[in-house]
Amino acid sequence: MALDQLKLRFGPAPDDPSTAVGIAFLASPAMRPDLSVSSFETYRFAKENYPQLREYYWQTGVIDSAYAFKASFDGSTVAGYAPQGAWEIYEEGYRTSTSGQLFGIALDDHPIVTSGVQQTRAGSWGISITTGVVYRSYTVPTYENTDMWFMTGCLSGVVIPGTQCILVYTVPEAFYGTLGTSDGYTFPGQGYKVRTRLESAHIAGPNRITFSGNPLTLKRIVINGADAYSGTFTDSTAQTGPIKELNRSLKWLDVRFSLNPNDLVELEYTEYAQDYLYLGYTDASTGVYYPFDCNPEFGHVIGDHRYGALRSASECLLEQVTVYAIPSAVGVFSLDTTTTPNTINLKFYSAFDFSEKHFIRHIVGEPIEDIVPRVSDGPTNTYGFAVFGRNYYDEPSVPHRDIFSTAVPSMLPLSRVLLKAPASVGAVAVADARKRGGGVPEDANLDVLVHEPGALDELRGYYDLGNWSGKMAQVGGVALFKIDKNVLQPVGKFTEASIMEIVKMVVPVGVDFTVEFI
Amino acid sequence: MSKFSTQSDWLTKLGYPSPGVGDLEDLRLVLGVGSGGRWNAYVKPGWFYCDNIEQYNYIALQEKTSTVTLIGTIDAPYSFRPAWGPVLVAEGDSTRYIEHHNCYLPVVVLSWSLIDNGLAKAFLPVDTILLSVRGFGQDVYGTTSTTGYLTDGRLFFYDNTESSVYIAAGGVPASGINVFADLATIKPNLRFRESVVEEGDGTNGMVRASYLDIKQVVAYRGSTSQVLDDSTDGWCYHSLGVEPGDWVVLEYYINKSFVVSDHDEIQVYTGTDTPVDLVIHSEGTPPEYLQQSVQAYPDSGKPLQFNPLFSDSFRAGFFYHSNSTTIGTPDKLEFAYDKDEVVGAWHETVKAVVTITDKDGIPLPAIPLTISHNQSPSGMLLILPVAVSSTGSVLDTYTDNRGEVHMLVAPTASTSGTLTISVSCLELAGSLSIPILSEQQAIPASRYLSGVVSLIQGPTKTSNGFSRLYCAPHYLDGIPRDSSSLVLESENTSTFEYTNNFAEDVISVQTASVVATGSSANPGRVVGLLAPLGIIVSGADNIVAQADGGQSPIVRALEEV
Repeated sequence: MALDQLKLRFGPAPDDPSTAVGIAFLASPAMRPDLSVSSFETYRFAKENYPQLREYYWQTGVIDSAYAFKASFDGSTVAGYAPQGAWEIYEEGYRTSTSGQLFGIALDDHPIVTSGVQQTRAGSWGISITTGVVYRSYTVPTYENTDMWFMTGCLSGVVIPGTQCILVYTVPEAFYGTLGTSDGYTFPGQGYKVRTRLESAHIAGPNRITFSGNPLTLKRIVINGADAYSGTFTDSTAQTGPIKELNRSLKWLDVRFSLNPNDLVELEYTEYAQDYLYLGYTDASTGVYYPFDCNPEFGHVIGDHRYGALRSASECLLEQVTVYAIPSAVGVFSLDTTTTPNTINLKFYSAFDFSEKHFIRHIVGEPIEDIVPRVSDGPTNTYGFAVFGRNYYDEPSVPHRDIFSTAVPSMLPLSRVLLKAPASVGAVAVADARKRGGGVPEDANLDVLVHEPGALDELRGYYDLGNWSGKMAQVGGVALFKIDKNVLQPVGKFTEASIMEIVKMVVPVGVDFTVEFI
Repeated sequence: MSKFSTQSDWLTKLGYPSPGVGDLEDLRLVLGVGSGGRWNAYVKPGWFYCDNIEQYNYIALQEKTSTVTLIGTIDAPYSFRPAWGPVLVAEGDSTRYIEHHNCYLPVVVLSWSLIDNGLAKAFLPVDTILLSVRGFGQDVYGTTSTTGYLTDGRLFFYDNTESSVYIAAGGVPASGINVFADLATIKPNLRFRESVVEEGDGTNGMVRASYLDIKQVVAYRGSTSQVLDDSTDGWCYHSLGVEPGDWVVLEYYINKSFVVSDHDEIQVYTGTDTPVDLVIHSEGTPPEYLQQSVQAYPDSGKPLQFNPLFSDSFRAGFFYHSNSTTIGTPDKLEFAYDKDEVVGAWHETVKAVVTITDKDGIPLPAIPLTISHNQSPSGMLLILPVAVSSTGSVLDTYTDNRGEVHMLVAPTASTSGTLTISVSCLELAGSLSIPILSEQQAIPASRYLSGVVSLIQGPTKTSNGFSRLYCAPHYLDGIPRDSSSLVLESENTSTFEYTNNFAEDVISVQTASVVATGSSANPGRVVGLLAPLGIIVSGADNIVAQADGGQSPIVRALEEV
């Protein structure tokens, strides 16, 4: 009779629950970018909210001399395309003073910022990077990576250790758009880039959903995994199907059906693509694509250049992953003494002419960047720097230090992603599905106790009916417990349920009881 | 649990025994951290009812066999049996033995001795605790803190140090036997003793015991006793001559019963002089020890694991005991890529995920499915973590514990085409396609003009009160560029002004859009075109800038500084 076979199954509900003994319902936490892993830190390369065009100065040592400045683009061809004239910009006769006034040119500084982690429909986590352009003065170090594009091709021998240049980093807003020069000027312009976003929304009322994004077209309303709406809703006022109103300004969506506070609500919609979603890069020198997906769940991988292999994202994130930009263009200075006045030439070269396609990259497991004195052979950075948890830019006490990586000296570090302690085991939702059994069913008709001869007597022979887990035979009577209500929370420390459990522990078996709080 | 070998029809019709767990903590699931940080499920021991059978979950089953004749003492199996935990089960002759916990000994006759100072004294039996003292008429004595107060005949003093009790000698009748003690023992007694109420008429005594099927019954009325017949229905007949409503003490053995008299022994009453082979099962672990739960299906024998960082993690579902082999019916197949398009010439890979769920949205583990991919041009598909196939081939695989299959697809050609992945799972099927872009399509020549137009709102204002706004176009690679025209469009009809470089002479004020022109011939101190503009923002606006096709990041919520 006594078996010892607990055949446990996990999965969907059994087809015939009456033949099974339920134990629990479990739901593991779905890793979300804002929940577990995204110990995500962003470098700053300029003062926060730096609003102005940047005056970029570089010292040439020119004093009491007149020079002409000529910026040009060595762009007779850019990957087969002839730009609109190889432009040249001159500025003549600018004379520095004996007091050391610096020569300056104004360059736009539109910082590239990693803005967060974005989840794709396939559950990949990419890094959102705002579009922008960053310039950086740079002295090529002796340990410059010789595979870097500006050290190869026609620039080999031109850009050498010690060369002063301007590195340009850029993140354009769209790689795959269809924008052409003939596009009109209607808002928001033809070929503008949108992306689809799945947002986990919040319930603000029985019929109201709030969201944080900026939906252009609402495509789906998903309630607990099931579509409550599927279509293309763009009008904010027209009532369509279950949609009552989409208020973009106040960021709410009113619906015609009732919401449960425990519902999981997701909205899928399109929005302007104002940033670049980084999901990996191709190494132009090897043709190898290194995917990047920082979702730490199993099945999500990161290409690790050290091994030339895919590794589980969680393993890579334990080592930390640094996301950075490589230069997309370089401006090389030269001095032409054959002209009067002499001419300072700044000639730009585009990385596209060197077959580079991906300028945002990641590196796994490299040590945190070194901090070296700026006066040493480290490359210079005009934008200050910050390291994790500390912004040296705002600390004048260390004015001559700079940030760089010995692995990729010309990198523009953008952020670091690492796996902090994921949600604990306590994040697994466990619902106790056990049901007391062994006695008679809870819905049994107990009239039989009256009509069936000898029923009560027989029941007394069933240990689990009268005394243990069954509830049929209450032969021991009924007890009334009067308990001071002050023992209950918030005055006391007990809950009503806990009091019931305590009483249950002390009441003899077979005795029913009632608790009354007075 | 019943002592009857058969169950009445009426009880069966009620659904007895109903499926479920026995009590409280029985089979309760708890989660704990296992090896390597895995989140494993553990199930507590206990009993449960399924398939009309009382069944047990032992963490470490201990089994002991012994032969007993009538009454015997057996070394118990190793057991830390918790109060509400797994049961200790004794079986013999295909009969379940009843365990009871008899620690209450009512109306025990004590031997009183007269001592000095007018007191009487009695020693309590070994291993007992005095609960109360009373006379034959059920009148309960009061207690005192010292023998000095024993002046009243209805008081007693309990010396728990030497386990004795004192009363006033005057309160003790000459025989000294009509003052009794109610005791509790520190170990259960195999021989049951209880007080029952006389239900006979005084001549034909009749009392009913709490248990049925009792043997070696002795009835007591004070110090008078009578051996009674065995009883199968609990009714006992005597001739002690008590009145209806009086108390009678019964002592008896419960047929086929046992008590755990200590952690290391049990006492058994078989009710027969014929030797009975007993099998005793018990739990062999400490109360706090938890059993790591393993799954019967799928992957029988593996720990149930929920940490999503590991390959064997489950996502959601029910946990239950069943002898059924049901594995769930696929009802929904979901398929998604993580990109809208992929560039083959750049050796890009695209991630795809297939999810199989049932009608309730519960992911289905270990569901067989086939996956094929047809790329034009060709490429490779990798089902993580290992299975690889080339274009056109079919891979048979199974969903993981989360009901998912993860794939990476790598187009290998440099020309444009289409990537299609097809999935079939039992009666479900689906496919999804995305375009494979060639390099020329991804960045056509004109795309080099589609660089970045930077829009920066300054902290200062122009002489006309407009917020200063700078625009600068760049090529895709960030090189500053000249431009013959730069157009700004406002979604909310913000007002622009365009000034002549830094001179701030307003040359144009427009609403909703402005065209700023510049020249590369003599742009002053500026590399590229830096068009100084002014703007008065209308609400939270969207501004888009275009320069001969170059389109800006769209600036949202541009507010007044």
